[in-house]
Amino acid sequence: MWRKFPTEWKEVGEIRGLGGRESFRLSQTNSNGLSAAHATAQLGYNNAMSVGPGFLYFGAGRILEQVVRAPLLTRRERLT
Amino acid sequence: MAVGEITLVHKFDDHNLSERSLITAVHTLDHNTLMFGSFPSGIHLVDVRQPRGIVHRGQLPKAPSAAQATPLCIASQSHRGDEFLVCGRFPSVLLYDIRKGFGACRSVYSGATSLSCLTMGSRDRVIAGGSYKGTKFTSVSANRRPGNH
Repeated sequence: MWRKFPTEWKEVGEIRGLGGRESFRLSQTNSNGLSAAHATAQLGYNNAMSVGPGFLYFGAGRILEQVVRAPLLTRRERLT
Repeated sequence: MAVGEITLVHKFDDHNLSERSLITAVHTLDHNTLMFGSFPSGIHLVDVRQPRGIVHRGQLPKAPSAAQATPLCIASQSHRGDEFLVCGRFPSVLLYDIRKGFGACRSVYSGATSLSCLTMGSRDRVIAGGSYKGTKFTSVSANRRPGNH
């Protein structure tokens, strides 16, 4: 498995099987603002994702989820 | 990194089965309709307006000697809202019409061992890629009319 770092590409791990696991971070909005969450999901299929205007569906393992993009804050909302 | 509201659409709950379902392909047919495929050979129709999500499901046809017919890619054309194509760990590209359910489909045999992706090349042409007897190939172009390769 290869990852691009600021100065070079590095191999960060061997691919031991098609049904591997990979961690990724999700940021979710709540009443207090953005909060980070760390999730681990089973990935292995390239086409288990569908993107649309303002949303995406992705399947990981046995779970299918929808992510709806948070509305963009206006400049005034960001300043207050 | 995904930023937004996350909603669970579906979760397979088949812990007791010998073959646990895994989601392998997802495709948005229109803003209300979602298709997804699953290991070992499932195909599912989701109406996002319905609380229960999945409104129809089926099994892809398997050859007698095959243990699975896992879908790996689902595609469709924007002007054909009721039809979609499926390819996967089987040698054919399958064409479904949702109005007829998942019980019947048309197919185009590619000769490949497995097809991992496909896209619409033009109005009546499909391009698919996969492996043929262990050799990777980049594209196979097939006219959508049944029987043509």
